Amino acid sequence: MRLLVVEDELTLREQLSESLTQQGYAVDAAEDGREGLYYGTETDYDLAVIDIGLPHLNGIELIKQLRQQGRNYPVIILTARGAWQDKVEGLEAGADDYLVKPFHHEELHARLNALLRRSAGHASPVMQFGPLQINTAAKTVNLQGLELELTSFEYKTLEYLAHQAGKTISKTQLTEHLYDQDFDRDSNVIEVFVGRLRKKLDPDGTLKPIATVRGQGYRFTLTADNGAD
Amino acid sequence: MKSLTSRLLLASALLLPCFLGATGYFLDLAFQRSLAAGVAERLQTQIYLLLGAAEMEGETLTMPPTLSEPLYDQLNSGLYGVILDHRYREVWRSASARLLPAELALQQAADPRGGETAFAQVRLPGIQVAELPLFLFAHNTLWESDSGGEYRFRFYILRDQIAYQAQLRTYRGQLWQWLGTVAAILLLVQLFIMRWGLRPLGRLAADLHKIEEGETQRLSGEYPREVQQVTDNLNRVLEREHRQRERYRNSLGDLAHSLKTPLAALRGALNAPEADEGSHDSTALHQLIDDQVTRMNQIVSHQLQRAIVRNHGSKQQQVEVAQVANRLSTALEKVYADKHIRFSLQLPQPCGFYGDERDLMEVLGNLLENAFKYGEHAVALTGLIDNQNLTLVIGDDGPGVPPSRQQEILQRGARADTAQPGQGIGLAMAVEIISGYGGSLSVEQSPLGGAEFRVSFPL
Repeated sequence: MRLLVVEDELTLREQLSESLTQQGYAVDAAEDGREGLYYGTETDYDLAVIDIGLPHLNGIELIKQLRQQGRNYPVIILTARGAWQDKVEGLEAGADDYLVKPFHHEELHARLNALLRRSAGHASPVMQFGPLQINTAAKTVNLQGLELELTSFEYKTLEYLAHQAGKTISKTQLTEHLYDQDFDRDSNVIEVFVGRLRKKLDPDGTLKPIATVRGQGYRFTLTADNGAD
Repeated sequence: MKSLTSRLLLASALLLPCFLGATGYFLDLAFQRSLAAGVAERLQTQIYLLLGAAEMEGETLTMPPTLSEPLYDQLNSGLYGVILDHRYREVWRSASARLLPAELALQQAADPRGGETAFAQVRLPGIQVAELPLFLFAHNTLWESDSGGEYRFRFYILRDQIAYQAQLRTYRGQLWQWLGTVAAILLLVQLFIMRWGLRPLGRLAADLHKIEEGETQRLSGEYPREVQQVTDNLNRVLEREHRQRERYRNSLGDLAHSLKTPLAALRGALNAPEADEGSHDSTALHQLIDDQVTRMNQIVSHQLQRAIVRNHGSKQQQVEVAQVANRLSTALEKVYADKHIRFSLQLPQPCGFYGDERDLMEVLGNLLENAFKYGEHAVALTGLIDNQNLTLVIGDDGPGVPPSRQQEILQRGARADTAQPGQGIGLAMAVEIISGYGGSLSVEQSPLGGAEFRVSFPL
C-alpha cells in the first residue's frame, strides 16, 4: 500500500514516515499544501494523512481540491487544536477520519488499517478466501490453518492484490502501490515476487489464486467468504 | 461621504435652492399681480377721464380735440383710447391710436356686459409693441340723449407693458440679489452651527487617542446623549478586552508554571543514573515519557480553554441546535461507519442555543463522540426547552458508566475507561465550557441501556 503524508513539522513528518514504513507501507512525504496537492493528484495513493495547519494551502483546502480532482482515496486529518469545528469541516471537505495531536502511533495504524479495509469493502481485518486467510491487522497469512512464511514484500503484494480482488492490476500500477517514489523501479522484480508468491500460496497448483492476464497484468481470482461488497 | 459636515452641507446646498427658489417664485408672482392691479386702477381712472370728456351729440358721442392726458395726443405713445357704439363700430379713437390698424378686434378681446368693466392682458393682431401683450380696460356704458333715447357706447383703453415690464425687471433683479445673499449667509451660518454641533465628536476622538496612548483606560467625561450611547458601549468593550487580556496573562503564567513539573520529571528521567540496559528500564522510561506527554497535553488544553472565554454576557445570536447536531452526526457516522450506529434526533421546533456556535459544537461533539465510541448500535439526542433551561440529552446503548464512577468522570482529566485509545480531555473541556455558561452536566443510566449525559443551559 502506498501512502501520502502531508505534515509541515519536520520531526513529526519524519517520525510518521518512519513508523509507517516500518509497518510495511510505501510512504511519500510532502511538507506543505502545494506539494501535497501535487503528489496527491499525480499518484493514486491508497490513503493520505493530512495535517490541517499547512503553509501555502491549508489542509482543508487541499482535501477539497483532491476530491474535486477525482482523488477518492481515504484521508485521515491531523489536528493540533482538536476543536470540533475543525474536525467537522475536515470531514465535510472529504476526509474520512481524524486524529488529535499528540497521538499514539498505534492509534494511527489502527485507524489507517480500518480505513484501508473499509475502502476495499472488508468489514473486518480478517479476509477469508476459502482455504486462504489474510489477517491485515496481524499481517499474517494462513493456508488451510497453517501460517505461511512470506517476506514483507511478498505480503505487501498479496495484500494489495487481495484488496483489489477481481480487478486486473497492471504491473505499473502494482509497482506504484508497493514502492515509494525514491525507489529505483524495475518491473521484472514484480514478476519474481508474484512467481514466488504463487509457489507459496499454491504449492500443488490447484488454487490458482493469482491469474496473469496477458498484456494487462495480474488478478486475484479468489472471492471473499464474508460477502465483502 | 467622508465627513458629516460635508454630508450636511451637501443636503443644505441641495435644499436651499429649492426653498429659496420657491420663495422667490411666489414673491415674484405676488408682485406681478400687485403691479397689474395698480395698472388696472390707473386705467379705470383713464376711463373716467374719457367718460368725463365725452359729450352726447344727437345720437353719437363727440370727444374734444385734445384731452388732459397728453399721452392720448402723442402718436404711438403706448396709451390708446377707443370708443365703439352698440354695434361695435368705431366712433372715436385717440390721436395716439391713429397709426393702429383700422380693424382692432376689441370685441373678441373683451366684451363686458352692460354697466360692467373688464380688465385683461391681450394680444391684438397688428399691434406688436416689443413682443409684449397689452393691458386692456373695457367699460360698457349707457347714455341718454337729450331726446330721451338710450344709446350704448363701449369705452376701451389700451396700455402697452413697457413700463410695467421695466418695473418687474428691477424688482426681480433686487429680489434674486437679496435671496442669493441670504442663501450664502445661511450656508455660512450652517457651517458654523455644524462645527459647533459636532465638536463633541472631536472630543471623543481626542479621548480615544488618549486611550490608545495608554494615558487612560476608559472614556470618562460627559458627552451629548446621542454620543453617550456609543461611549458607554465602547467602555464596555474596552473593559471586556482588558479582562480578556488579564485572563490571557494569567493563563500563560499558570501554563508555564504547570508545565514545569512534567518537564522536570522528564529531565529527571534523563539524569537518572544509568541502570542496566534491561528492557524493563526502557519500558519504564517509555511509560514515563508517555505519561508526562499526556499530562502536558491536558494542561495545555485546559489552559487554552480557560483563556478563551467567549462572550456570553450580552445578547447573543441564536444558534440552531438541529443544524449543529446534524453536522456532527454526519461527521461521526462517517468516522464510525464500521459500527453502523443508528442515530436518532428529536428536537423541538425551533431549538435555539444562545451562545457561540463553536462552544455548542465542542460540547455536543465531545458527548456525541463518546456515545458513538462506546455505543453498540444506537445513539439518541433529544432536546427539551422549558421557561428556564435548554436541556440536551445524549444517550447510547453501550456499557454505560457505573454509578461509582459517575461523579469522577465529570472531573477534569479523569477517565472511567482507559482501555480505549484517545484522551479524556474532551469531557473535561465540555465541563469547562458548560460551567462557563452557568449550565450543568450530569450522567445517569440511559433507557437505551448505556450512559445518558444530560446538559442544561440556562436561557
